[in-house]
Amino acid sequence: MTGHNDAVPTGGTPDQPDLAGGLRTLRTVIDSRLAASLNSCVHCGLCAESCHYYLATGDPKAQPAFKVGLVQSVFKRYQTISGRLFPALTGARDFDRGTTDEWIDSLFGLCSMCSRCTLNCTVGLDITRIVRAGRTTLAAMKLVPSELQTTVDTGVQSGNNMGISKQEWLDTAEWLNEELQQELASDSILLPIDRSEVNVLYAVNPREVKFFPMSLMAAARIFYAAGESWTFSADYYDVTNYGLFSGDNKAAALMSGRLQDALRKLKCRTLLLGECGHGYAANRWEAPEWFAATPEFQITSIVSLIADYIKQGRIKLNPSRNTKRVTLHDPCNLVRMGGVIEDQRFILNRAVTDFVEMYPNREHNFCCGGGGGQLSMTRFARRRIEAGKIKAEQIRKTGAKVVATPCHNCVDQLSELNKEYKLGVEIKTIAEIVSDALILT
Amino acid sequence: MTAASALHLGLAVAAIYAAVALTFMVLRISTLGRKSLFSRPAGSESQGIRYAFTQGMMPSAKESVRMHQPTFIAGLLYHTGVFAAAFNLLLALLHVPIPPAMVLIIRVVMLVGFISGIALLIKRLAMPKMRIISTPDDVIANIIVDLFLATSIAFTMSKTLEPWLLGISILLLLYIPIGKIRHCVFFFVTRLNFGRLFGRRGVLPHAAERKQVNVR
Repeated sequence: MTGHNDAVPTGGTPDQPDLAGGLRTLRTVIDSRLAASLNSCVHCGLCAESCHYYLATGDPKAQPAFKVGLVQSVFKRYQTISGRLFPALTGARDFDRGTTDEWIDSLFGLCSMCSRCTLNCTVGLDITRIVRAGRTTLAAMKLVPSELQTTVDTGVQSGNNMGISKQEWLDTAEWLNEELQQELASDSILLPIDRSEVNVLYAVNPREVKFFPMSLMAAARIFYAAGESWTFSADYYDVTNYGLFSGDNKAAALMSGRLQDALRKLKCRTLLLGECGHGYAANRWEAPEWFAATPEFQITSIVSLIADYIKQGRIKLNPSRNTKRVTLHDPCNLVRMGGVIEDQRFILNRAVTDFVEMYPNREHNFCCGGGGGQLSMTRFARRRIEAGKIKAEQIRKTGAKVVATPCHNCVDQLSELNKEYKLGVEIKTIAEIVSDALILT
Repeated sequence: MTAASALHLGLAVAAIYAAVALTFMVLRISTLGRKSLFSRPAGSESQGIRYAFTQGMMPSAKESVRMHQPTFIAGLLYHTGVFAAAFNLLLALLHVPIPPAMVLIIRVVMLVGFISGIALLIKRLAMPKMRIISTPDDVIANIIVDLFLATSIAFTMSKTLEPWLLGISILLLLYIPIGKIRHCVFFFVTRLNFGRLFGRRGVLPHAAERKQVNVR
C-alpha cells in the first residue's frame, strides 16, 4: 500500500462503470513491487490454508491464489506482452462487467486484508497489496460496496466515521470529564480538548465516543496516573481510516491528513493512535507514503505508550484485580503488518494473573474476520461470521474467560463471534484491563 | 551448416533471447512507481532481506509449507533436478568429460526431479482446488520442463540423443519469458521486497525467532 498509487478519476456510474478509466487506475497503482509480485505467482496453492475464509468454508474461490489470479489475469492482458499476444495460454482476461463483478465479490467479499497469506506465500508475494490494487481500481469506477463507501463518505464529510457532531463529542467529553473528576477527587481537566503544546494528541475510534465511553475513561485514567500531558482535538479525533479498505487513497490521505493537521495546529509532539489495528497501519505506515513525506513528529500506539509507562514506573498495576484467565487476540494491522508485537504481552503479563496465548499467535495469528471493511459491508456479514469460526475455535481452546485485543473493530467482531459460537467470554481492550489494575495513589 | 551446428546456434540465440527478454522485463517494472519510502522504519530492511533468503525460506517459518510438506519437498526436488539438468547441458556444450559416478548422481537427481514434476502436474490436474487457480501456462510450463528433464536423463544414457536435448532446451528457453517460468528471475525480486517490507516494519526477523507459545 505504498508508492505512487493514486486512483485516476473516472467517469461512469456503478451501473455504467468506466472500464477504461479503471484500467488506467490499475496501471497507475501497479508499482515495481506489485509488478514483481504479479510476475512471480506460480499458482502453487500452498497459501490456501493461511486464509480463514478458505479454512472455514473450503470454497476454492476463497484461496488467496484465486484472488491474486483475478488481478493478475487483467494485469497480464493489458500490461504484459505475452498476455496481449497469447491471452488464452497465459490466463489473461479482458476487463469487463463480468470481471468487475467477480472482483467485487472476491476482493471485497472474501478478504479481510489480514496479510496472513502474504506472510505464508512461499515466494513472498504481497497479496494484500494486490487485493488493494484491485479495490483501488474498483473505487475509481465507483464500485465499492455501498455500505463501505457510506462509511468512507461519512468520515470524509463529518470528520469521523460515525457522523458524530462536534457538539455531541464535546458534550460526551465534558460528561466523562466530570465523572472522572468525581472519581479521582480532582478539579483538573482530565479529558482535555484542544490543549496546545502538550506531548500527546490522542486519536480514538469514534465508536468509543458513541457506544463505549468507558473506554475513553480508561485511557484518561491511565494518562492521569502517568502524569501525561495530552489532549483530544475538538475537530479531528478519528483514528480509523476506511479509505485504507475501500482503496480510495485520496479519501484515506484526507482523513490521515486531518489528524496530522490537528497535531500541528495544537503543536503536539506525538500522534498517539488509540486501540485500532487498521488505524495504526493507515496513520503509522501508509500516511507518510500517501503524503510522500516523513512526519516531523512521533506516531505511536497507545499500547506501546502504556508499556513504556510501566517500564518507566510511571504507572503501577495490581494484577490481582484481574484474576480471570485472559487470552490475547492480535489485530492483523497492528501486529503482522504493524510490528507492535510484544508490548501488549508485556502489559498483560503485569496486569492480569492468568494470561495465556492462543495458538498460533503474534504475526502468525488468525484474523478475527472484522478487518478489511468487513464490519461495514453488511451484504457479506454471513461470510464474515462463518470465517470467524477459526478465531472462535482458537479462543475456545485457551479456556480463557476474557479476550483482550488492542482494536475496537476486533472487539466488535469478537463480540459477534462470542454470541454466534457461544464462547462465554468478555471482550476487553488493553486500556480497559490496565485501567482495572491501575493503582491510583 | 550441419543440423548439429544449426541446433547449437539455435540454442545460443534462444539463450540470448531469454536473457534479453528477462532483463527487459525486470528493467521495465523497475521503472514503475515511486522507489523511496517515507514512514520511519521500526526495524531493519537489511535484516529482513537476510531473513527472507535464509530462515524465512525454511518450513519452520511458514505454516503453509509445514502443512504441505510433500508438495514443498516435491518442489524442492523438482527445482534441484532442473538445476542439475542445466548443469548437465552446460557440461555437454563445453565438452567437459564427466566421471561415470558423477553422471550417475546427476541422472538420479534429474530422475527424482522428473518424478516430482510429474507428481506436481498430476496434483494440479487432479485437485479441483488446484484446477481453479491454474492456467494453460501452468500445465504447459510443467510439461516443457518435464520434457527437458526427460531428454536430459536420456542424454546421459545415449549421446546420440543430443539433438533432442538441444531442441527441447531451445523450446524451454523460448518459453521462459512468455510464461510462469519467468519466476526464475522475479522470485528473487519478490523475495527481496518481502524482506524489506517485514524487516522495515519490525515484524521479521525478530518476531519469527520468538518461540510460539502453545495454549495451556
